[in-house]
Amino acid sequence: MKFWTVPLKPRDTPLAMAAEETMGSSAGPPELQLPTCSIQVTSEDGAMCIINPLFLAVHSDADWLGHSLPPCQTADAGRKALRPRNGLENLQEPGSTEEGETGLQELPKGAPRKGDVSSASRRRRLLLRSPAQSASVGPPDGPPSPEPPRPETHSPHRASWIEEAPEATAPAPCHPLKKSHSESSLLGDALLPVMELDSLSVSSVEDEAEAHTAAPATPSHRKRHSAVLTSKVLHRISAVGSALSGLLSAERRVSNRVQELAQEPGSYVGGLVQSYVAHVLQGGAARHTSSTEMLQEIRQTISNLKGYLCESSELQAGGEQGDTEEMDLGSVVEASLYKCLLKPLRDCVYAQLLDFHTQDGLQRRLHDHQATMRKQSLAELGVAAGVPDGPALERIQAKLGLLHQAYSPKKKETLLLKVCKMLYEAMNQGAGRAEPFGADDFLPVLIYTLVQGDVVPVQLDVEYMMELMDPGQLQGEGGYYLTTWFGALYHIGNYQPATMVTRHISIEAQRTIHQWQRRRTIHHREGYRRRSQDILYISFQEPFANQKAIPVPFHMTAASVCVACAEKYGIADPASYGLFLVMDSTSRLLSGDSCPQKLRAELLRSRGTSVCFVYKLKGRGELPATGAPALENQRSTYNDPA
Amino acid sequence: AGGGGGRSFSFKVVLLGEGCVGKTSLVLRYCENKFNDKHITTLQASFLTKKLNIGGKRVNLAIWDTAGQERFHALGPIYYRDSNGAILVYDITDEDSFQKVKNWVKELRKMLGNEICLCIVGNKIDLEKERHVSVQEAETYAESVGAKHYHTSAKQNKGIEELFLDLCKRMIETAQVDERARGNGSSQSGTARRGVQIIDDEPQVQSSGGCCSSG
Repeated sequence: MKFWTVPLKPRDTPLAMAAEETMGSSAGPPELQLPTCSIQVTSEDGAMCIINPLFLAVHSDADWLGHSLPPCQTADAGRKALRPRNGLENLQEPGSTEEGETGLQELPKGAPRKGDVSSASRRRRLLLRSPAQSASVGPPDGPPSPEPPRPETHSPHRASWIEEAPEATAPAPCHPLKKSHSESSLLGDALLPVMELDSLSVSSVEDEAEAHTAAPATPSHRKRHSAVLTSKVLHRISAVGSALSGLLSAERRVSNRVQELAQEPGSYVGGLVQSYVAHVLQGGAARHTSSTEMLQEIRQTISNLKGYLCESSELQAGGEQGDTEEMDLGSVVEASLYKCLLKPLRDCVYAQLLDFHTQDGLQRRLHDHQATMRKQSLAELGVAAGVPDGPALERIQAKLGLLHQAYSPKKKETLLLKVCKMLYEAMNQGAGRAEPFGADDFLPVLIYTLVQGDVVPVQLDVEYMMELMDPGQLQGEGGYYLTTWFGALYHIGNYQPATMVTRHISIEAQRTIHQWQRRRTIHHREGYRRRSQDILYISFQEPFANQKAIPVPFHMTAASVCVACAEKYGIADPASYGLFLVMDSTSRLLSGDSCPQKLRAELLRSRGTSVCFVYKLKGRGELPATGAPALENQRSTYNDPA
Repeated sequence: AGGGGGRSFSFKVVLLGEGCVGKTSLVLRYCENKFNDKHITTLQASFLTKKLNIGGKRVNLAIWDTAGQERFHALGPIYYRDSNGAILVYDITDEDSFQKVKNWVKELRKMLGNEICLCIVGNKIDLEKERHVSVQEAETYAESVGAKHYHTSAKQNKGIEELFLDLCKRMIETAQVDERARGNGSSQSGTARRGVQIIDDEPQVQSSGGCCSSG
């Protein structure tokens, strides 16, 4: 993968400089330095922008530079060319040269088409890796204000990239951006030694993991090469390119492999992924009785696939797997599965979540209580520390917007932690005290901040993360703050000034929380630690006949097991098959929402007998579990033995 | 069941107690061994971690602070879920805060049973002169509910190391008992082994309740 960058002297117009670079000449028309129409980058406005190589390609053909147009026209021409950026995608195969990469096609304000997100984010990754990207073209319309990103028009990745630069608080992947921030070092950055590039870029493991499309992407990037690059630029490109090619790490190979498998309808994983995605998109999520149930089914699917992939040999085809790598493997697979499942499902899931909470009234309650709480004073809200001021609130809202747009629970978690950090900063500034703040101080400030914005999307986000995050991750810092956010939203949703001072938890609150608590506990203890014991052997048609090993976590429902069985046994008509529990020569049909592993564990404990699960045609005189026809979602006596 | 050296444990400990009893100072003192007078740190104290080595067993502690205000009482369960231990802090000069600890104990026992190791901590013993909760009352109460009682001063760094060390030892013990019980309880195959392969399309010979393949 290769790309080129353009060095830029401070206060020179990048267009001129780009032209110099492009044409191998240093004769930029002096008029172009007029600031009014020039396109500038300043560290104040925080914009860091990249020349669109298409623009260069187009305009070098039109030799606009040679004609030394008045500067305004130049900028104007630039704007025209820039605007239909994505429309130009089809022009990007000029069949030009082989070498050299022109991946730096970012425009600060150009909005990619919605469907273009993946290629946009791919480009962004290139950007992130390159401190040499400082060659920058400001937006044509003056300095960009750090306005909150508008989700409809900005790709989330793009927005984060813009926003990240001025803050430079992000721990890992975005750090290289800081470099390009200083005007004075722009030129130097462009000439950074390759080694440094390398060291800066490898850190972005998360991006690596996301870069699953890299293999197919590379050729298409090559095609975008512009014919007008000088040999000097080409040289630099190939140096950078060779550094980048070293990044095809083991994680990436695993990630690629997962993506490949998921896209292959013939593979076990691909079949499951695709049928599941199709199922949910076709409204399969609506049949659930609660949002939690819906999300848990998705989480189960992820966990099942993850368990399967981590332990199957399918991933090992591509590479080495040491013992130490196993932890990494889990998180790489997890991230890849987010991409396979959650990326296509995100919008649908959110729509469903909103539906659920419109119906159960939570949305309205949040709105109402938010309005009430906004009117309260800080003292009434129990805030003792500093709170974010206007600009800080805006920045926080921008982050929350990004958080909302992201599909990966992990990415959301990162953003959530960033917001927490911003809150602590505001608290420290406001209070002017040196002692670190604990939960007594943090929670009220969080509540204050949340009610200043729109709490409903945050509620959906927190729920999404809570249920979809890797349960093993819930014990760490991310888990702690996620819990705190959940608590804050719970407090807002159930806010009742009159009963606020009561010592006792309402029965309803207690029940809700208890259920939730239990579920997470089970998830954590059983689902994660005992992964290898999750395998359930299922027979086909007759007990102990044609058994297959199916990964069935503790909380996987019989309905999900049936889906897996239908896949394994190649059943064309899954509706007429069911999962049966055979014990003491009786056979019971399990209801769709019962959990086979749970049943097995319970029966082992209570009776000490071994049981057999059989996947077979329904309606052969078996005893339904409840004595009544076992319907999907019907609670049976075997539903929850605990 | 493991009791050997080289084991590592991850425990979650939740800090409960009314606001202003010194939860935050206590845990900061432990994790940083710094008590705030003039010390400036960017570290926040809501969530802290600490690594320990106890007799060759590595312990990773994650300490979850909670908001102690009355209005947030209902949120307790989401914090103490999954906890291996709870530290219930009261201020020895504040009778009410001790009452509050009693409420927490009741709730924790009800929700989590005996799985959770409870520590009741009378903080601010540097203010012994203003004590309003009698030592005997507190210790008797702790014993009656199966909790251990500690006297600490975050300000003078008294009793804090002992508190956490003791708690860790108890949590290790509980975890090991739990493990053994589980090992006996489920008659099928013992430990989850790494690298057990799912044999995808090969028919299996064992019975469905049987153990992992011994390959």
